[in-house]
Amino acid sequence: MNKDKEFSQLLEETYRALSFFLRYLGLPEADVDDMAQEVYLKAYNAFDRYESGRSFKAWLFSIAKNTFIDWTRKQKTHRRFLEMNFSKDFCDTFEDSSNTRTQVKAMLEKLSAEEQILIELRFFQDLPFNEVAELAGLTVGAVKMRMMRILDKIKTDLKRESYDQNL
Amino acid sequence: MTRICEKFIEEITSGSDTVSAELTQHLASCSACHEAFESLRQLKDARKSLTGKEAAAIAGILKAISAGTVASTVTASSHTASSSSLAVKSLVVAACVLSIVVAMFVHDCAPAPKTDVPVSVAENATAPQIATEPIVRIDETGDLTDNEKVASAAVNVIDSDQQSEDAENASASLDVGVQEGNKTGEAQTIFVPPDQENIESR
Repeated sequence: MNKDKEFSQLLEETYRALSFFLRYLGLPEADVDDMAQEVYLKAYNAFDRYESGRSFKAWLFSIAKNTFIDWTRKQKTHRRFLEMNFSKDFCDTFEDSSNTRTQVKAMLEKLSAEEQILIELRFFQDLPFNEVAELAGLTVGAVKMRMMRILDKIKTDLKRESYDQNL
Repeated sequence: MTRICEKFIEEITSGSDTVSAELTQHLASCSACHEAFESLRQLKDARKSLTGKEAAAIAGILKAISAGTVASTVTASSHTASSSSLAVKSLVVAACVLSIVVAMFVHDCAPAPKTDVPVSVAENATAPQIATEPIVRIDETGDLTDNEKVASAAVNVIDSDQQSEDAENASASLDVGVQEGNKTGEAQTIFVPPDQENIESR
């Protein structure tokens, strides 16, 4: 596949997750587009040196994290700032309850921002557990435990939803 | 509430569409894993496609990437041009330094014509001291065998005594520096010309 075509496809697959990941790290929403552009430019320029043995998405997200760390150094701030509308924006990427059989969106709103970003990285981006752990600053065991809790919450809500519908 | 099996947590949460045969068999027998698997499938189905804002951002990034590649080629060509001009500049600087070094070397090897001048100046400077010393020696320690010299020495002594007495009388209030100035060889040659004194005394 052509390099540009392959890269544009990867860009479409990862842009949403990358922007949420940057916001989860603490980047203000106004700076997300600029930093995402910087990250993708770095990735594109180093695309030939990319190790094929590693997941490209994991490599891309590690570039994003390092770019964010550089940004915090320039800003001279170590304060983590998670915007209030992060969870709302994340849930807005799912269909409303009227269009689906279950209230997926309402179910996701009950999750914390950390749990939401873990779902994004692990389930929607298919990153391996060790990469997710490194990006989220957790151990692999902690990530697995959190994922099990998330699945418990989700399936419990879905079971309750289907039970209410049957009544 | 039953938890999903840890053995299949990785495959259930992978998000891939392909499912292994082992997991399919397990899902048929484990209700907890089956419910978790189905709920995640519903999440995936409920995910919206890219919004217009996200598509515009992606288009902007692609545009920036293409512009970045063009800019990188332009900067690369300008970099090569600047590197060539830098090489020319360095050559010119090296030539200048070499010429300065050669000029200094040639200047050091040439004979120095002004080396005699300081010596003559020193001799001129010491000449008056050498000229005054014999007069003083004649007056004090010389062998006075000639009559003229004896007479002149006697007159010299008398005159100097008189002058010193006159000076003591006339300027008793003068300081020691002035008196010492009168005792120098220059003062003696001015006030005691031997030929004239010999003529006057005879």
